[in-house]
Amino acid sequence: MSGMDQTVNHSMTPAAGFRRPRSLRPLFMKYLNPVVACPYVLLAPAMILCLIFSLLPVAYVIRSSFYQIDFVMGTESWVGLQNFRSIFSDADFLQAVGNTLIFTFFTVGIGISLALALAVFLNKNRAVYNLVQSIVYTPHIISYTSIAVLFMFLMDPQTGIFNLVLDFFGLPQLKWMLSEETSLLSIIIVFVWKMLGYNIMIILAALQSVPREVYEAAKMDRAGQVKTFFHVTIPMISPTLVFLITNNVTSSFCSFDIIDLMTKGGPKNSSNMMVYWIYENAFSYYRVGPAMAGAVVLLMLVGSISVLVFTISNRKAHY
Amino acid sequence: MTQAIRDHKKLILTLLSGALLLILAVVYIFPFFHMFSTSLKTFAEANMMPPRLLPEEPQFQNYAEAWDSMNVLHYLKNSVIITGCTIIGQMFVCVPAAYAFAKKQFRLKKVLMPALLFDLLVPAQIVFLPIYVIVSNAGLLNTYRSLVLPFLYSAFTIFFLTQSFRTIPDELLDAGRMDHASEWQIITRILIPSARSVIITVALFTFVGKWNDYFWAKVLTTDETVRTLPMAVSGLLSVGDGMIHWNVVMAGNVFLFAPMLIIYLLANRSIKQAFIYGGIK
Repeated sequence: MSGMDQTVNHSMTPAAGFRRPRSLRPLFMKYLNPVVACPYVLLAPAMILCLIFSLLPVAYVIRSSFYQIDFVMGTESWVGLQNFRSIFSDADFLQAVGNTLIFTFFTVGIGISLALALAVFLNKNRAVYNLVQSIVYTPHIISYTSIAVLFMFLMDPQTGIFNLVLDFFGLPQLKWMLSEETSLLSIIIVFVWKMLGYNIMIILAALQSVPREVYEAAKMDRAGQVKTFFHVTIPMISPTLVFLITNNVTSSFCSFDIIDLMTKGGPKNSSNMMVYWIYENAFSYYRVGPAMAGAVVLLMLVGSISVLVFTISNRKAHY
Repeated sequence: MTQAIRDHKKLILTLLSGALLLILAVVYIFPFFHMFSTSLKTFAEANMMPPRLLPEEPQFQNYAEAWDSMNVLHYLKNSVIITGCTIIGQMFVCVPAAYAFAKKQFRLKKVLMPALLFDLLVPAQIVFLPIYVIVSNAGLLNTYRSLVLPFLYSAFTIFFLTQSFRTIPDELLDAGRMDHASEWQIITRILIPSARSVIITVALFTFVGKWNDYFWAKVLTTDETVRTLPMAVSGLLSVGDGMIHWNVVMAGNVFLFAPMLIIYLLANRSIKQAFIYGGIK
């Protein structure tokens, strides 16, 4: 906080001492002028932390993806694209990418459409509806640890409620996160369940900000409810939907907590996802170079999906 | 006749929406109810199939057992220290930065703002290894600082505060300057009081994220000294004789989950507002 103290003393002193002709003044002297320096002093702590914990790490990830690194020996050597070649011929990594894409497709597809339908349904200014909305929202602020532990209990093959419900409807019992076929499904269910309330709340806020006149105009044009929804409501809230999709895609892509807690990527790699693969390769197998190459791939995927969604929406959205 | 059909239709619609509301409420309340009820059961009762809705005789010893085997006090202390320091420290770092972005004109503004935006686009889960390397090279592994320092800077908090500081009229700040207030006084006496509700919102946001954090606690620690409550609860799963004692695990889970639920019940409106603003702006 030493930067802050400097501003305390000098902030009000005018730039009186610096009246020499401009050409003679050394460039850096300008920054000794408190009025010019002030913003930089205010920003310094944030910018230093941003540099150390955000910009440099990204640079480090990209650089390391071209090196073979041995933390124990403290050695590193340039290997060019070798790390990328090795991960793209690694069946586990490819499966992790596939799982991540499947997981994201379903969590975002189901999550957003369900939230949209329920938001329209809950969009009534009545106490019961608001109460139910608050209840559905609760899991979003509860930690993934709590939720994952809770669902491991509910999905327990022997004593869990999930199998009891299946049994009630006469369906065959499942082994949920303990079997290869259903492990990914299990974490999709947990993710959608946890995020639903948040998605509903954001869409509700957007629905309520659509001006009433727009609907009145649609009514004057004798547009039916379905038509109004698709031709008026959806375009009006499309910026929010775009935001939500990007947000959900990013958090699906970067899921770690539920996987680590519920399945550890298993059984047999069936629920492994990219972040978990990166984590295991870096910390358990000490394959730092390949792990960072995986991180670069993940960064590019997340980045390109965000850009794609934004370009599509820019063409379609009515801001 | 048509009136009767219309009434009929209305009744069916009301019943259907009632049913949907009920299903939603059950799907979201029942898991928590079941968790709480299981935490009061004996081991035998918790493994019964089909399960009882309520325990025959409520057992509070699961809580005692979870409290002891989890060492709740130790992890609770860590959670409180780390969450508290992050919230307070973030204010010291982000409020001045947001003030500069909102109210100052300077040449590098056009460069520094995009740097901030770039940071918002990079998910934390991608850069965990370099941050681990930095923290361990600085000799901070397994200290509170390792779980606080990297999170004092938050692009989201700075953005959010910048937006709200922009709406504070310049005249208010100029009036302060006329009274020879220093920049520090302008921040503490004018800026912070006028943006109080937004600052509380941001603090709640940080609180929720930090209290629930599992990823960073897992990545940036190698032993139990500074680990937080979420890690302790996940540790309960491997306690015991090969069988998971769900009654004890659920009791431990209540310790993690209850503080957040209580805060949600008290500050329901502000928490929701925080996430709505976080979403729209």
